[in-house]
Amino acid sequence: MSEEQHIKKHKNKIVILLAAALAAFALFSVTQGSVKIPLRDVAKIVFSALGGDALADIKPTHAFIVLQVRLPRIFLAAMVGGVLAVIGAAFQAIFRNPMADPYVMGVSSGAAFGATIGTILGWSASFIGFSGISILAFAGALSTVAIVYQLARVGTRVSATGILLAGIVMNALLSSAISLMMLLNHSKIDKIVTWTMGSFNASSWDHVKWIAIPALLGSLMLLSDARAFNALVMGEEDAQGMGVDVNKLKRRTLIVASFLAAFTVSVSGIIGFVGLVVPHLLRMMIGSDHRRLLPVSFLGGALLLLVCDTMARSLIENMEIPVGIITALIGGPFFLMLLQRHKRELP
Amino acid sequence: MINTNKLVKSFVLALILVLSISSAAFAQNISVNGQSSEMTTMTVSGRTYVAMGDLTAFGVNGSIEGAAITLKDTRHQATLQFKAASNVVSVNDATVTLDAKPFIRNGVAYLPLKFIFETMNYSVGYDAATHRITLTQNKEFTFPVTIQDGALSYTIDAPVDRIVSLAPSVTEILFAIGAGDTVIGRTIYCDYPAESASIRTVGTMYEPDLEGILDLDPDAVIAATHMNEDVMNALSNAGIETVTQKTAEDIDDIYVLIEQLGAITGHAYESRALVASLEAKQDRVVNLVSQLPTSAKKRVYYVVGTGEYGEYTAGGDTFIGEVLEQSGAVNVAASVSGWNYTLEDLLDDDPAYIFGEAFNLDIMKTNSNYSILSAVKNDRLVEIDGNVFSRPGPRIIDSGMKTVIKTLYPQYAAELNY
Repeated sequence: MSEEQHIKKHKNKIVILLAAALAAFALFSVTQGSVKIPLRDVAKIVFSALGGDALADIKPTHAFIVLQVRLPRIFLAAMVGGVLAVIGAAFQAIFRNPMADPYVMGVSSGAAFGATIGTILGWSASFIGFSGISILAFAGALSTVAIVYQLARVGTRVSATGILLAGIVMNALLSSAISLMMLLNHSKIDKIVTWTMGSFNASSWDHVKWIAIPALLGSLMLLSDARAFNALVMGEEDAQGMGVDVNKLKRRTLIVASFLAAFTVSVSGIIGFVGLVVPHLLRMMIGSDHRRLLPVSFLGGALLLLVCDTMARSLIENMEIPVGIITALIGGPFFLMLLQRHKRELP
Repeated sequence: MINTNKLVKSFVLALILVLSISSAAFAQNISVNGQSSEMTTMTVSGRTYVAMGDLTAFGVNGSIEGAAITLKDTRHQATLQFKAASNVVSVNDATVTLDAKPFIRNGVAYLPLKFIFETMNYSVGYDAATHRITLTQNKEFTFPVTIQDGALSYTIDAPVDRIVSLAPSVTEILFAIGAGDTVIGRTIYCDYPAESASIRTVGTMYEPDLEGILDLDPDAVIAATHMNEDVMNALSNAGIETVTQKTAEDIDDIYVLIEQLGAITGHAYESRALVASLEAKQDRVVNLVSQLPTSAKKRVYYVVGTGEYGEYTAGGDTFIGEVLEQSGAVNVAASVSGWNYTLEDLLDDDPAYIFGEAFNLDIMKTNSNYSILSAVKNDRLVEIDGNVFSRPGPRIIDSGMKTVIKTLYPQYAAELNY
């Protein structure tokens, strides 16, 4: 067997392994939660929802917990994790910067700004099952992206450095504004802080519906540019020479990925680390061919966030830990370990 | 220390209520500091009243003018002004409401025995062996007063009359004991009573304006929940007396805080009157719901936070949890400690009623996660005034418990005529 074939086989194995692990963990996750529901009952409930027999001997609240609380939450966590990792991989490609993450264009602070205003106003309006907080977070994220984009744009060109700098300044500006608002509204600090730590508490199928189509379409759009990302990694001029309209590619990626990021923060709050770490981690394992890296990142991100969220809701009895804390606590050391092992291969 | 054993207390009160069933005036033997003594008493709707004339032996001179009943407590230089058929009493500068109304019969004024003697610094109990009410005089507060807050200890040498209050509950209590005029600074959240609006603000509980406080030149700065230790230390270094109290964990902690604030402001008398009136109301509520069979008690969930912020409630070891239980509710989150809860547990508990502020209830109404809850389906989401329930002050007993009773057991609401 040649070296190349060996790597290819290894790569295929990772795809299968990740997909299998995701499916298995999703099943395990349905059985986890603060209310103890016997495995047999969970199986019955899921089976009946798929068109099986009625549930004569099962508490309706247990069926509700499995079908309307746990399942949408599992779907949502996996989807958000997957999307964040794909955005991270795409951003790292177009910025050619290992520090790029899904929130590089100010999505996180924009969303937090919107959510803070919503929390302080106590705006309880809702729209297709969404709280005012989610709606304002989404609006805040998109407006911030638009501002950062406008700031970094020169004619039809956008410079990566310009985006990074504008993003950093907007982040700092909005963070200070948030701190000021928190200070003036002390009684709501804990709510705001909790929101910014990210959580899938109270996720419903409405949230899944809201994010499913954008997530799918956006991920596919990014995937369709995989070859162009590969070319771009070689350098802008090389890519241009290979027939890639670098400027258009950047613009398209920025817009699509930031929209996606805005969708994710509106349903889950800010979840760091997944989008930064997962692409790096997988790149070390399978190389940087984006035709493979993007789908594998989706699976990896989905798995990581699902594992973290399952821990978030079952680690401590009768209490939820914001999932953003767990992603960093779990992902961090794991990443450092890998970094240590692959030190010599780093550019 | 007041109120060290709740169980004994409620038991004693229940006995007093049960054993004094007669509604005719009769001479009753009462133990006063261990000495046997006769007093004319009367029991009306579960409350024992004492004839005004019997108070002379305790240094209290009474007079009646029309419906007005005035007591002058010569030992404490205090004046109590009752009005027949009214439950409002003036105690010096403070006004408290009672759960029982004094009345005049055959020219004799009858006054609520327990309230009067507790205000006069007696412990009121019941000796089951001799079937007698017992009155035991307590030690008077004298300066210097020492206040304990966990490991911290504060010594106050003289009454303080220029206070900056760094907690809404402290402001409410100071006004309730007639010491409102000592409050010269408050946080922006101190919004009750309405008179406090004219007091200068000094920022928030956690981020108070240090210069603003120093500028007010207070005798004392009193902080409770959410205090900022750095600011308190800076004030202390500036030579200003600071007093802190941790968050109340139960109803007794609220009474302790009231009596401590009374002691340091020189309003100990009024603070005892306030505590006595609150305890009487609390006892009445507890007694009312003790008639309920366990099966008739309603299961309740109290929302502190919900939805995307996560589920937060009042666990079994919080003062809100205690208020719910004492008002006859079964707190579904009683098994947890503190404020954390989970959506799954809430759904599994399926409480009959959910108490919370409008903002939280709106989240529950609109988020489909809560649609299966009986309380949501049956529209038993009870909107409450968060300031009343979340502040460990007099109002949670006064109107908080009443709200719970009115909502859950309206058949008893008429008996809470305060």
